[in-house]
Amino acid sequence: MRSPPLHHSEPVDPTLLDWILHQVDRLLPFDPVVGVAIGGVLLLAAPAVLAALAVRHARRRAGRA
Amino acid sequence: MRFLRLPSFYGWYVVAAIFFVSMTAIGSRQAFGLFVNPWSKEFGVSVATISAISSVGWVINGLAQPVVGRLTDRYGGRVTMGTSLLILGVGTAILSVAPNIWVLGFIHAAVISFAVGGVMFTPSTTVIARWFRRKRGTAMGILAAGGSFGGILGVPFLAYLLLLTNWRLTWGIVAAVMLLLALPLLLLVVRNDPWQLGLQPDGETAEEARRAGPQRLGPLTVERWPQCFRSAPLWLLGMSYVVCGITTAMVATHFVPYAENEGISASTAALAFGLLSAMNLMGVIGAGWLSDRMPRKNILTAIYWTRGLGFLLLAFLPAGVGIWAFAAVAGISWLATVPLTSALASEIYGVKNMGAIVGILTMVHQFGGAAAVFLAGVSFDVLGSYTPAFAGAAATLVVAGVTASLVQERLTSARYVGVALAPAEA
Repeated sequence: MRSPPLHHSEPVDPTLLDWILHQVDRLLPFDPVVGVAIGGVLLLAAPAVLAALAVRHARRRAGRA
Repeated sequence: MRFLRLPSFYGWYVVAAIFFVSMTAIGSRQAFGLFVNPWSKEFGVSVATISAISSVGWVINGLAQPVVGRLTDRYGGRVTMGTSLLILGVGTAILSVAPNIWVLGFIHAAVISFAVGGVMFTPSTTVIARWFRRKRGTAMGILAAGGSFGGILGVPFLAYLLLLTNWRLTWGIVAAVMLLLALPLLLLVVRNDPWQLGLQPDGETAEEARRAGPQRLGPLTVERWPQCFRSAPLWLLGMSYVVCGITTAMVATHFVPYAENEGISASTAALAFGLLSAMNLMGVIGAGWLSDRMPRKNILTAIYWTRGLGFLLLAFLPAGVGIWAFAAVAGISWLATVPLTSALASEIYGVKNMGAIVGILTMVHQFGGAAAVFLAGVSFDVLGSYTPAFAGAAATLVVAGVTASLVQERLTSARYVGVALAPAEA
């Protein structure tokens, strides 16, 4: 299962995964629920904000034209 | 408050949208390792069986590259990426309800691995090449960093999700993110090229763009993409890119076993790999930015030689020092080859056939990686040491650097050579 990470989308090494999770737990000592909540909010907010900004930009440009 | 100023050129929104799409698609794929044990327990199969699914998927992903590249050239990056993302999302949803290992294996190895090729660098760099000319390296570097972010941020998120729920619900949520967030964002924001919105690459004025020459063409543009094989740059870029695949795959697969063999704990090795990933983020964006300011082949050569130095340090320094030196030095180069190779290809051959060309280059990269993983393992079994494999990798990287330096960029790149307008472009 040790296959290439971080290059052309191949899976991350499980040992690296364990380490990442351990470090995340150490640095951000919160419950998994909080981790999922933060990740979920970011996941929802990022495309929404980006889409809104892109549409606003396109409308302003159309208005100037 | 200058840092709060939003970009005035729409191309940066395209970069941001593709960044998010890459992050979700690549991040979920990189999290494959999280699901090995749950699948092994639920379906009663060995870890080796699930590893085999991953390996087959790797080969299929490589084979997909020229196909999605050709589709990108014919139908545009937006359609190719959108369709691939739709298939990827539906495939992921089916994966979440897989009744047995056969369905799971087929969906992951064949459907998802193929579809993710249509969301990766082959179509996305082709779209970006049409939006940017002067800042192409920077834009492609940021795009490539999206994949790294997917691994760094997405994998812990999925791990938390897996802790709270189960693997089926986790994959179901991944499918929902792809279909309900990433796909609409892609369709809403991404356009194949700036001309669709009445814009010019880099946000130039029409007069500036006219002076810069036709975007679709390069000095070596050909009518049909297989004709590119008759020219030296494709072979030179391909030879260096295959070494990129060889060396990244070798380390990614054998780095932790090497460390353990040298008496270093797996967690220390993983920590060193974490440093490599962090250096990678800086390297990929920095290399892209630098390459917009000097010949790209020089940066590409430097990247291969830097990685070669990293391998020499890994091979010949005491392992306890070597893995850290390697992570710091080679990490800079890790993903930086992607934006530079893609940008060079686009400037030499134009963007007309860029999808097919980058697809071929990515395919040989993946195949080189697959071969290297096997050969490094055989080398260790026969010789009892990873030193010959790592020293060999350093030697191939020296050759890759020389090969990249032989690309006659000043004679064959649209950055330096004027391109005559073809009748169709005029």
